[in-house]
Amino acid sequence: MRLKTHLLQSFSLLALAACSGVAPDPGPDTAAPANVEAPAAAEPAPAQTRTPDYSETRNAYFGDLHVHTKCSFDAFIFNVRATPDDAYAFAKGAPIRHPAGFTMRLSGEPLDFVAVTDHAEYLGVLPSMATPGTPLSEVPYAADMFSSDRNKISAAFARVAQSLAEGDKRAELSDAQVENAAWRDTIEAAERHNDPGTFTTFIGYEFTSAPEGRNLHRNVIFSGDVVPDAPFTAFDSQNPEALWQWLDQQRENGIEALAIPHNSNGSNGTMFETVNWADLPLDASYAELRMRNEPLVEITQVKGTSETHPLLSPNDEWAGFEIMDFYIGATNRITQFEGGYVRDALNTGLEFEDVEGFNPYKFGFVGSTDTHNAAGAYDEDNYWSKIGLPDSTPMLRGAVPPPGRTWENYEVPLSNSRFAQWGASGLTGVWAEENTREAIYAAFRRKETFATTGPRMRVRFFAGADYPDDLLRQDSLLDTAYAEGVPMGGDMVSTGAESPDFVVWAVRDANEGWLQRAQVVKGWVEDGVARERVYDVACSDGLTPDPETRRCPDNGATVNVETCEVSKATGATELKAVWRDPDYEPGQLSYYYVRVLQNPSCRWSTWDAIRSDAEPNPDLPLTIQERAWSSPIWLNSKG
Amino acid sequence: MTTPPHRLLSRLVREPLLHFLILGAALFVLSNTLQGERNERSLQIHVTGERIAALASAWEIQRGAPPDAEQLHSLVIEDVQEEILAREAMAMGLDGDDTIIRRRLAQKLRFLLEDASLPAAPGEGELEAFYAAHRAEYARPARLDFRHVYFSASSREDPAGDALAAFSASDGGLPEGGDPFFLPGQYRQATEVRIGTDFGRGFWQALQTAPEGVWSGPHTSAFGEHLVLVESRTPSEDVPLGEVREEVIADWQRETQTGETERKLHELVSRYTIVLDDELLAQ
Repeated sequence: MRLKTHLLQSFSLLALAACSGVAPDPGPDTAAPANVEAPAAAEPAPAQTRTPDYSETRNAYFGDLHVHTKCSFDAFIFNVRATPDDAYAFAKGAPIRHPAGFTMRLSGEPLDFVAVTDHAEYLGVLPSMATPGTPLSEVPYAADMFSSDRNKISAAFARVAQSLAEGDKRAELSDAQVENAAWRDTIEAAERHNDPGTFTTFIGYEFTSAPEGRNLHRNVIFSGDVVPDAPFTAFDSQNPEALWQWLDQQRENGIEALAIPHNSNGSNGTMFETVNWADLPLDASYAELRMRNEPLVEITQVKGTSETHPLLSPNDEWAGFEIMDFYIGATNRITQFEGGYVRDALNTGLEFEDVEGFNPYKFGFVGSTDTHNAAGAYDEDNYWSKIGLPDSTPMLRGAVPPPGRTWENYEVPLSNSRFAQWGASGLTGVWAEENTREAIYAAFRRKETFATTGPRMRVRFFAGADYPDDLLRQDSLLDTAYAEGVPMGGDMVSTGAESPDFVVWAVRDANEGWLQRAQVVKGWVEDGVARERVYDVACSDGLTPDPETRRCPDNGATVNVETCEVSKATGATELKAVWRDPDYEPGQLSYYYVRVLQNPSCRWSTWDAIRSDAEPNPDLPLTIQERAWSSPIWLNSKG
Repeated sequence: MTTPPHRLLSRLVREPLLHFLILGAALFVLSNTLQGERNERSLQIHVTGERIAALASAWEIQRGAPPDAEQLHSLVIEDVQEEILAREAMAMGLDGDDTIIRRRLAQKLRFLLEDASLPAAPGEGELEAFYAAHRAEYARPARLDFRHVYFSASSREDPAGDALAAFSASDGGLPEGGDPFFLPGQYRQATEVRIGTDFGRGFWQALQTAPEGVWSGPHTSAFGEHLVLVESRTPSEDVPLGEVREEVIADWQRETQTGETERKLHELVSRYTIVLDDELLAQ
């Protein structure tokens, strides 16, 4: 009998530590509630010592703010068993295993910062269900929840997704003790791996609201180690306004955090609406509440890029980039694109400001992966998609036909064709003085951020009323650009007769790819209606934009799609220009952001096909143009 | 030109006629040998209420609305048909020569082995031994303090020539006439990773031979040429176990789990006698 009791005890210890890679210290206080309120909160922070990286003109750091581990209900169902510790180890360059058995490893340098953002709903519940002896393991359908059978995986996922679509917490899937322990594990893992000056972690989670399947998910990122006892989840409310009010409350209690919406492309037009949750027109207090808590938006990730859609931006030749037009986790198609894309939201924001004087959509850009493998797939030629077993092979992702079949006699099933639309993206870039939580979080708040589809391209963007003519050749370019203007994410009043000087400076990933062109995307309001226009402002290979078409001539870059080899000696290492808006109007309410395009290169699906000795899927693009987006600069906006 | 053997093989594997012939032959053999066994198998299909609910819920998730009676009816019929086809196919041994099914089964078992291999915390001795064996991985990496002047490959015809000219003209002092760099002109305590990210892999190596305390170059990066003043070097340094304890435990667990899975796999493999026709391997 004693032996049995002892066994049960050790099982419950295991269950409590289910989301951690590190076994708990055996001791009487193992099950004590988290003491998450660090005493430092009450005292004034000690004077920060600067790390050796510190630079007044700021460094670019790259990170992923959207990473799931086995603590997320869906990741566990997808057979993922990697812990938050594994996620951080992977980001620092260690190899970890994919549930299908292969090894995942970054092909580039380690990342500079990472936030593990597991779904707060049913946090840690699935690992506990899979542990014999726990109360959760006695749920009748427990065994079906962690099958490696793909049909059972779908059914189990559907069961939980249903509860999220309804915002209704299933009692049998709830265990406060387990969820609290998993939240504590999340916090402790982040604390263990945070290493100022070298590697920054953020404590975070995902708020998983999807009313009727329309995606309103947000990642909540905390600035420091002072965090609440429990996250605010979609079971507390599916209404994002309630999340923002909760964030306001936290702030009053000295806990600073922000929320980052993602996959607006899967919201069917509900992420950036012109009415609030109660269907009433937006007002100034809504705009303030939203902007106080959501200064950033995730513009690109594995499940597609949400910059804009060809139907919304018919005159932008690059609008149809990695478009994902399914509901999230389902096979029904998106029908409403307005309100689901970032540029359209910036435009809506300008229209509101023009007429009503407030702007609810004035955000900067970040990119992340949303990996559920604890390991982001950032590279087209090192790709494992993102949801464990269901998309683990080229065939499952719709990139190659089954053995013995060809594209003439095989059609990718609908449920897999969603995976074919996914991509190897993205990363967040920040301009921060040093690699610490304080400096990077401050950059989030300033919106001095940029997003890339995976390559570590760097983008600088400044606007100044009157920069010196030889600015681009000055050694003190950056000092001057900061001192006499505003960086990306900033605001500027411009009522003079002349366009401000926009400094656009993009450099290639130091280890892959060459740049083709740098563009400025402008939005403004005319007679109450927002307009947009794309200007090429710097071209590679000594070319210059045509003043009529505003386009760079073709630089002749090519890709051999049989080998994925790219043309040598085309493209730029660096693109740099001071640009003045030829259509500038004094006092015009407008925004400007930079988009940088690489030369074309093979899409992951082409790499998959080549490596499988198969024909690439004719319904998919063979090549893509990797890209980066700066956060916007607004002129004459008071929001 | 002769076709290499693996090409020939892969062409054969894709040949539909061959598939048909093999399939036909296999069916003939199987239907004869399995006849007896087949009669004894249960021919009952029990569609449980839970199964029906799962089908309905999967439909609802995919389509956004629950199935009506007719749709549910056809879902159940399809499901029963699938079950019967699958059972019959297995009875005929069709799963035996299917790469996908074989791979899935292998994957499932590997996964079970892995799940059962989660180790507890290491003992102190084990931990120390593991740390000692991986000491270099936990070491504080070597670092470099340096300044640099940049000559851009994008905006110059001959960045190396320009850099050399600036170097000669500077007479050992700070070279003039470089281009602004988008990252700092001065690096403190920069690691190989930082330099690889900011200048391209290889630049760290290039700086290893640069003399200390004087300007040297040009050194080539991913962006152009650089004149460099290496101010100081900090060699790699061991970090005591106490400072990286939790990281070491996590790594130990990761490695032990992999090792344990491999051990279990070996155990399975050792139960088998493997006869290898090695003519093809020998070629």
